[in-house]
Amino acid sequence: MTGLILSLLGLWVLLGAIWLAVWPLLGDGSALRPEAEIDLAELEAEKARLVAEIHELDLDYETGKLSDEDHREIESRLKGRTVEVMRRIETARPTAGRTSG
Amino acid sequence: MSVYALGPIALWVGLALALYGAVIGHLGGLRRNPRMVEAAVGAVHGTSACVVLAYALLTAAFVTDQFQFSYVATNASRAMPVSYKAAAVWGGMAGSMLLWALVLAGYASAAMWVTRHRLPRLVPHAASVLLTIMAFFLVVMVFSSQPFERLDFTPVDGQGLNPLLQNHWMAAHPPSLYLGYVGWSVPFAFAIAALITARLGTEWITAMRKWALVPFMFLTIGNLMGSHWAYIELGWGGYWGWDPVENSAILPWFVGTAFLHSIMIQEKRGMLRMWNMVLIVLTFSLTILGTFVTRSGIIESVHAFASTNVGVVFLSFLTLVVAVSTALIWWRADLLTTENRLESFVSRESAFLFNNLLLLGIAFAIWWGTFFPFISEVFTGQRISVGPPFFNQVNAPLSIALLLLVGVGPVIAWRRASRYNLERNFRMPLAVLLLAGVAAVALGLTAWYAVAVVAFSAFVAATIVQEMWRGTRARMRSQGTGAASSLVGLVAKNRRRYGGYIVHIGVLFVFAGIAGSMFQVEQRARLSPGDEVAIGDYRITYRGGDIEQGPNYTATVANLTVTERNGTPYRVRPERRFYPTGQEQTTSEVAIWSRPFEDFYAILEAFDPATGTSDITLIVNPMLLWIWIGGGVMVVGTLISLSSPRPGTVRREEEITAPAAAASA
Repeated sequence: MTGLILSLLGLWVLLGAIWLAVWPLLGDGSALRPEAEIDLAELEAEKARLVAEIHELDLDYETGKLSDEDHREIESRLKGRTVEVMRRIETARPTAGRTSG
Repeated sequence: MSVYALGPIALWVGLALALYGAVIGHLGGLRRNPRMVEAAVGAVHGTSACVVLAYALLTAAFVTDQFQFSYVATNASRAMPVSYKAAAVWGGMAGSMLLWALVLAGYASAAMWVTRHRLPRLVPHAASVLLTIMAFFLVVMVFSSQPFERLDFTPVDGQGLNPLLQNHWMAAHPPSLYLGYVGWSVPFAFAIAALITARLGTEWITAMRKWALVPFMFLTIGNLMGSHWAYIELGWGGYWGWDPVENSAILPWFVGTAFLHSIMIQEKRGMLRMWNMVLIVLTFSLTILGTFVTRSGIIESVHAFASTNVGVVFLSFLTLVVAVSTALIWWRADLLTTENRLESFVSRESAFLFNNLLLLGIAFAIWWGTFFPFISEVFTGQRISVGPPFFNQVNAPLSIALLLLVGVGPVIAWRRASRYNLERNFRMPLAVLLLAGVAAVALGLTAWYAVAVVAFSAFVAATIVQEMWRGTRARMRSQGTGAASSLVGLVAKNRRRYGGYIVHIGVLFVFAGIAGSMFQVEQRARLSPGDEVAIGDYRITYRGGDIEQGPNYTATVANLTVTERNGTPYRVRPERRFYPTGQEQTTSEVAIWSRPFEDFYAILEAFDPATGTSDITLIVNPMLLWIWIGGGVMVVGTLISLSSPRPGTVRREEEITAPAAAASA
């Protein structure tokens, strides 16, 4: 009896495994993520990376591993890129909201 | 139907899903078809479920003595404790492949779970690569080395696991090593995805840093566990014999460490893009090579327990990995061109580059020495082996130079170190280096490498202390807190950086242990009951021998009392064990009295029950404990680094929101 139950359990696992790989092709696609939302997520991730990089830069400067000139130059470049990414996020947000909503 | 019949079915279904997912993932990624992408991610989870089921069934077969399966009958016996039966699953070829697949299943599913929203463009291709690797191991298990292959009859008992492997360190060593080996599949898969999608900036590097730290940590643990097993089980007094399998396990550690350092240069300066691609491909290839060496028996080794004929299959897969990766790198060569150039040889970038070259130099020397017997046989027909002296002579100077760079790298300035930077950051550490060197000579050290290790270790320690102090001081100024809370806050807020420094402290301890063990003292003696012998500061009295019965072995034991400088006597009992079932093998169980600065190590070579005499080898190993302590510190440092939050902080975002708002206005 235990063997039968375990066998049925194993079979369910195999059927579940197949279902996981096949259902996205069979469903209506409503649960899938829209392209615009993916673009927005990428921009958010890029912003987070740049912010972390500026933080690291400051610590390098504070512990004497960057000259004043290098710190100013790199920070200005990173902040410029961050501002650009944030602008793109502002532009992308309504599109992503419309698509997902 | 027996539940075990599901084992091979699970492997077949897993293989079908892996192949399906590998194709549909690339198609979905190229066509930007979200349904296909979801299906590929689902295939990763589905394949993982199949592998988990197969592994669970095989473990159940071992634990419940299902000797109708050839693999179980070969690697287990009724008398084995249940824990060793469960560990015996990976004692041979088929189970090792299943363990590889199981670990890959865990990593692949976790990677999909964590990255599918963060790296949506890379995920479908990464899923395809991971499923291709999975398909390879499933092909091996379905067609070549089948874990569920049945015998024509059911034996009463199995042959049992090799007694050398019946040790708790060895039971834990392969899973840890495989967690290290297999973990490199994830950064490799995302690197290939970055090449395919031409997204070769810092995106994949930043996302994969932690996924590279995890296998680095497990390779560190796995190699140390293997060394510890060799130290306590093989009975020769050493911990690293430059055995081909040991070497194959350490190779990806060196190249992976180079990768972990050089990605910092790409993150900060946009440099070394192609180099990083080469390093991750090389690291992953070395993990496959390591498995190939262990399992093919191509190079004779004490570890080649499961030598089989799957060498050609492995070599074909390895060739495919290298060929496809090289073609992709070649295809994207223009995009891998560096944004910035090296501005000065006296800079952080340069120090990291030298660090990389030294790590790769060590890796190449190990690879060359390991494969030289095979290469010489191919070209000359004669198998010429190189022994430990080759590895020690080549690697000692390279490692000591690397130790110096461990100190230089973190404190030298980016781009170009000015005279001011050099004076400010190196004056104190260099003074410490000189003082430590002089002190080492004054204390009687004459070997150049020992003096260099002491002086350079002191230098590295000084740079780390200086870094910690400066960071703490900066935080005290900015936050207005005390030294202790500033230090805690500094480490907590910058776990990636300071976790790395703690790893470096662990490296210092490991170096101290290795350098100390070079001063090993050894003595052999034939002792009758009541005899005394001295080695170093130890006086040993032999109290006679015993014969004892274990769960599946018979042991002869020597009773020794050890006294250090007239201190409290300590009892040690080295053993020799005979395993009568299956492989009828004898093993040595050494006795170790481990102290902070010295290990006393006793090996029972032979015991004569008629006369009561024992042949004993006694060894004193200075500083050896620090290798294991250092390894532990390295793991703690890596965990601290791993615990750092994902990029982005509230404080900095607020600071940047203001200019952004101003700019948009």
